Amino acid sequence: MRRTLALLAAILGVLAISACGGGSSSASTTGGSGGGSAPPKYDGKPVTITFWHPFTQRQADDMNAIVADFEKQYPNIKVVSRGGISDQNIIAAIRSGNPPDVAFSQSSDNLGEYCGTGAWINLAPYLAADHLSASAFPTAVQQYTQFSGDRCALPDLADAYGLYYNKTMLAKAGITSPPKTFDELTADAKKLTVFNPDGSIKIAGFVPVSTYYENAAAHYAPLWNAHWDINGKSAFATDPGWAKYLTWEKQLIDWYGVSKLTKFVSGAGNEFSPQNDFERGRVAMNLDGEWRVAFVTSDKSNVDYGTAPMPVDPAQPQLYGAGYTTGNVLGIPRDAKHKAAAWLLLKYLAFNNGAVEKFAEGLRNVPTLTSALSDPVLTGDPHFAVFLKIFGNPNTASDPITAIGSANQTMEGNWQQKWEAGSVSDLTAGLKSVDSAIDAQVANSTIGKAP
Amino acid sequence: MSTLPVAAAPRSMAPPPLSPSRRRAKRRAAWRRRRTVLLFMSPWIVGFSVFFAYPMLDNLYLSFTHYDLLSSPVWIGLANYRYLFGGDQQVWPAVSNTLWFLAIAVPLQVLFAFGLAMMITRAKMGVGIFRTIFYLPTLTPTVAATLGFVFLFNPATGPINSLLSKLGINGPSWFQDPHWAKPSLTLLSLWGVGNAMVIFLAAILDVPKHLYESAQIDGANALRRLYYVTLPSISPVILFSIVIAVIQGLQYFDQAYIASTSAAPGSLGNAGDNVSENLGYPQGSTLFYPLYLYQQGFGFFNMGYAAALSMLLLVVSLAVTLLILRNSKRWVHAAGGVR
Repeated sequence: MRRTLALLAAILGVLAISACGGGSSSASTTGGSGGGSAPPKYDGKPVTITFWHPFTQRQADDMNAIVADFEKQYPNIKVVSRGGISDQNIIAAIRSGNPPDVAFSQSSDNLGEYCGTGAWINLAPYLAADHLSASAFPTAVQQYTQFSGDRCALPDLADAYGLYYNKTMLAKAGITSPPKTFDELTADAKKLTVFNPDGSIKIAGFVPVSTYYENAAAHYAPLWNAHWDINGKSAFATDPGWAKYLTWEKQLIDWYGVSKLTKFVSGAGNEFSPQNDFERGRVAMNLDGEWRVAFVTSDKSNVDYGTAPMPVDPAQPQLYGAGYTTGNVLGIPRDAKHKAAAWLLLKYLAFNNGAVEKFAEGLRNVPTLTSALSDPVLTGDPHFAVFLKIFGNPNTASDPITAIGSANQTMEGNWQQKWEAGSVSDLTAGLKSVDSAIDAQVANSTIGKAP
Repeated sequence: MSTLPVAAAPRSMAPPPLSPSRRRAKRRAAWRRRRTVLLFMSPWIVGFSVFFAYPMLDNLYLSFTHYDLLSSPVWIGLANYRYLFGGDQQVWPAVSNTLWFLAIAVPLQVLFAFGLAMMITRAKMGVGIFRTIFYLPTLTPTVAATLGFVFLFNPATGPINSLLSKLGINGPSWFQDPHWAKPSLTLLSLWGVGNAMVIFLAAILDVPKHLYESAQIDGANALRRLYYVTLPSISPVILFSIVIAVIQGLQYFDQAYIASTSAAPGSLGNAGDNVSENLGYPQGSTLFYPLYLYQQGFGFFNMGYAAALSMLLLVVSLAVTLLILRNSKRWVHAAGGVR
């Protein structure tokens, strides 16, 4: 008995020591980081700051060139750059209490967590101190760089989505211009589709399957004026735009045949390689981002293509010209050691017209500064200029920033796969089930959070 | 020769009471002995505490909190468990996927490993070669093996369906079809049964030959020898294989994660880019319970709920293992036992 007690005491003793030293030691208070106090100002002394970003290879070279320009402007600030970073790396670093001074995320999906928990500091005092305003960015960009009034991020380049079409195939089918409505898209897709002798699809006019390349529902929402939530509740069943989009999609899928289309898309080449289906002529039209322009060039594809805004809801032709956008976000983690110097780099990357234009030209992404949208290098490329116009369109929108990351998109996407396969007979009931699942997830994920 | 006085033997067997100083000395000696024991046990105690006990207890605590990885856990009582059992529509399909794997894939793995081992013991020549060939897949890294299978079983470009079409068979869509995705993963798991096969092989070869000879003399054919001699003799190994396979089935993650993130159209090569993207593809058919737990914790920033899910997994794993062990008393024989 005594031996058992001694052993137990030893175990508990070690547990107590472990508990004191471990756990989420870096996680401090919940809620925002407080925006009222004056931000620290850089004192001009030599300092080294760390900058984490997601880019590798060619794109990392472009990023490092911008950083080098910043260091020339601020000779006493040395920037140590690290590429290939994902959001998981950033989160782990913040939890460990040793984050970079500036963090660069390629997706705004997690901004609700970064802003809502104070993991990235509120930048409002910094903006106010330097007389800067988020109105320098388009409306959609302002929306995806803040959460519940807390602006904890600034943008640096964005993506805009539009239609890529194979000019040769359209001309051969007698189609003189790209479609402007989804009805026209359906008609054109049927004309452009080529079947093999055994009935399988050889060339698809347009693939609507949501898991194919960039066909996620989020990228179609602005085209149907469909909203993710209304008054804080998931709106798939209540916003008619979703039912219209899904009905259009299913009709085109059924025309191809579910099993034929499944077999066709399973042969899709890697999206970011020369085997991309559009680049090798396997699809005649495709929804894709502005980066495809640079990929077609670097992959040395000989596809003769054009770009245009995506078609829109036939009942809302005024939406034509708009599209979906999302972009990179940068912020300063709460435990960053050199916030003042970090702010200077952040401000340079987001607000310096020259830096934004140079980076956009290198990556062939859309510049997020409204003033940079008229960059002659970018507007001079007719393929790329289309995306600048889409990005600047007032109806262009992004998906909302939520406290549950991209959970709503994931849950909707899983259900949509069943809808596309014909496993859902009642669309309205299905959309209601998605809404209730998302609302329940939000409710569970936000229990105990500060309002 | 001197004669020392001999003390009279005491009437009672109890030792005489010790003086206080003797008692203290004895306690100090006992403490020194315990300290020595603890010192030698300390590496295990520290390892057990840091890598097992503390994470488990911390996990139990987190299951009663809201924890988003980036701020401190906030106590919310039973809310996570209420959501698990009453509000979460996604968890039961994940449970169903895991149960399917336990009911179908696990028995097939055990049977297949046993069958391969029996085949090798029957081989007249090339035993070493066969053993190596069947064991080699086990050495392949899980990620590479899964990616390889997804590529091979691609319904449009994969060689498997090409071969089937030459034989006049219209192959299924394998990893792209929700009805075939789990069977495809089962095939992958059967391909990698080398470890279990080797264990069965050793057990079968260890069955005393005289038992077979006696059974043969008594007129038992091959089937009866298998049932009355081989199976009882290796029953402890069968139990071990079943328990290990069940636990692995309950924790099934790697292959499902890689398959679902790489099987989506155009994804091969981008697997794992996004934590939540395409997990469970197609149509949630490969969203096993551990995968769902991971998605909740690291994809949806809902680590408190993920902790509750993991506690449920722990309880179920314990319950299932205990059930198997209790049931095993009826059919597992001690070493050398026969029916």
